[in-house]
Amino acid sequence: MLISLIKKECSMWMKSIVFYAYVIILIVFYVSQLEGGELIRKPEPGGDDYGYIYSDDENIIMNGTLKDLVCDFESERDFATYPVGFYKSVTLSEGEREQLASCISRLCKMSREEWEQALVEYSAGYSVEYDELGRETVEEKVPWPIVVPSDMTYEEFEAIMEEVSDIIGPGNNYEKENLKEHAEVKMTYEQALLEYDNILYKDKVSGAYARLFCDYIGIILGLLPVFFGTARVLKDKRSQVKEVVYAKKAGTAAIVCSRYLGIVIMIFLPVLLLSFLPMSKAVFVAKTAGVKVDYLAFVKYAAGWLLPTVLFVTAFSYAITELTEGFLAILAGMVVWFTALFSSVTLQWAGWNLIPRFNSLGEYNLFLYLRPQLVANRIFYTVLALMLLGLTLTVYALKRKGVLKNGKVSENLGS
Amino acid sequence: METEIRLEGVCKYYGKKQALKDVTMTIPSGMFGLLGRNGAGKTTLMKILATLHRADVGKVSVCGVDVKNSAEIRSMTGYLPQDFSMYGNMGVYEAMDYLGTLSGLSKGERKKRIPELLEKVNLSHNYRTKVKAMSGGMRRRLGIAQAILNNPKVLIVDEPTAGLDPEERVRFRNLLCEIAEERIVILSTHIVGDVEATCENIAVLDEGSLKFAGTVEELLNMAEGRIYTAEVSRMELEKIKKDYIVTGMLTKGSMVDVRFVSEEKPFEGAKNCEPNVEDAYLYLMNEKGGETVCL
Repeated sequence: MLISLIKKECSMWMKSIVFYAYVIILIVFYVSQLEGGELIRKPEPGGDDYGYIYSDDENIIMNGTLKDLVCDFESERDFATYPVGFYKSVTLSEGEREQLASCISRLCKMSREEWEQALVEYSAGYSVEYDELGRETVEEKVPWPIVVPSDMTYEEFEAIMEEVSDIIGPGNNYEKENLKEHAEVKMTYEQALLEYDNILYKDKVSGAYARLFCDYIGIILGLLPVFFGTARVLKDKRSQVKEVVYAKKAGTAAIVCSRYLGIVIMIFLPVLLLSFLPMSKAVFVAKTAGVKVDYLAFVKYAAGWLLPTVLFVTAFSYAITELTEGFLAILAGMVVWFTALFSSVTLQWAGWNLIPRFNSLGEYNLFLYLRPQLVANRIFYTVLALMLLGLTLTVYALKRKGVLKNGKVSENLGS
Repeated sequence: METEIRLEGVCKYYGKKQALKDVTMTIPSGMFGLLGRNGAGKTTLMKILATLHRADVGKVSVCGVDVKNSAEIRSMTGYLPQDFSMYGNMGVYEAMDYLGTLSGLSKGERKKRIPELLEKVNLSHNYRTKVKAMSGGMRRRLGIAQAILNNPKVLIVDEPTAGLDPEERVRFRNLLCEIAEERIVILSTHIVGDVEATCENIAVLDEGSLKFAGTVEELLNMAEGRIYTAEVSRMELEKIKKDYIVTGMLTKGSMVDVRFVSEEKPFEGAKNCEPNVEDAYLYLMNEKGGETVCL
């Protein structure tokens, strides 16, 4: 019965304006954001920009972190933190700022007056100029003066940074696992070549394109399924078919799951079909480079990366609409989407955010570094989706028995 | 195997309002009419039988199965709600196919049964007609067809003829009578004519209480000798309206043929006549007051 009902749900969506609006938005979004994008090319020796990479050099990590900390301390009173994956601004008290200044002093073994004076001198000789293409040229008359002394061990540095992290609070950029992110350095030709080889032989080209595809498509999949969940529940209300369906033999699980899976299929199928476009690009690049492409890369990335988003957003809107029988889910979905979209720490980040980002073509090693948090994130949203589906099942079963009506215990119904 | 529905001391509350008050009755096989004013508790009772509501107090069993066993009850009942509709952009066959799937019918069963039923309800030429393009009568016929998709032992039909034109109403009543062979059909209505034309057994609900349960003949017997007709002037009519329950009148120029209820011969010229179900119903609802008559 379930399979048969899922097929009927899919065929209902095939006649729905919501579905076609979704497909059009999906295509327009893809064409505007991804079509005609960069192709992966082998780096040429003597180039001036091969991109950036996070260094493993402890000295670079220590000095990069100290520089960012001093800049954060001096430029603004508020620190950005992401305690549960979402942005939270932390304002330090005067006492906490004193403690932080003391940590900086211990890191560079200079008094606060000394490093503040050094900063003033550095700033006086610092200038940025932009050419007609908007490219910036930084001129430093004085090299960055606040550095970690060579006799400081990495363990000592980590201990002080732990204090810094405690002062700012959970989810800050100076936690132990985030320190490497302060060590962004320009790639050398050799590193760029290694990166290129990773794309060809480890990513098999299609993996790199699939990540970029998932990054962009994940943005709209964080919102659009909301309309499907709401539309499906309200369709029953508007068409006055609730009681007819309630009274039928089909179990609550079969009815709710068929509707849920029908939506998920109808959202996910166009995404898979759309992925043929970047896939063809990947095939072209792979053939040009003479390597074998992974034809299933897009399916694997989409299933692991995008499907949990679809599952969660659909379950979220379905549960809320089943409970309230109104448009509240759309409003709530928009709030969740805006929060998720604008709380990403960087464009290569997952955290606990609904919309994980990886806005790069390639950067295989960086992806490997971020993959554990992405996997945890996706499992989290899948589990959350299943819990919401369980809630929907309970609400539907109670409504079917007349215990709940629009989320309220039934009273004063018609005779 | 039992072929009746039993209700014992059924009460239902909506907040502080009591919609059903200690209802006890047995519904036998065949057409059963449930009469009562709007708000009498008919729909609540129907929904309890269709497992869409739960009785707060009392026991209900359908063909020997407790209604708490909703899965089993749903497989043996068919339900046509008061305002039946389907998804507007679905065609007739498609709607039946969808509801047939929900009723647990296999693809083969649906292929065989749906054309038979659409033929029965005279919709065999409307397979592709969209639900939104159907008239009220056509929708009700589709409603009855979907309700008997699973060949139910019990068919629950709530106010099916409301809003239909006379021709459609008669056609629909006849259809129900055909379906009622070898099964229980409960017809809820406030239109007495529907019950008179189709039902052998009836129950009357009033403000949640069971006022009468028995055969149509027994209801008629209650009003026997208490229905009178008289030809009176318009002036006299006003007085009769004040003193008696008027069940019908027909204006003939300056005179009016009036039909009314009276315990004894009211005046010279009034003639005793055979009661019809409408007379008996009005007598029951007005003369019998709070008294429950279960025969």
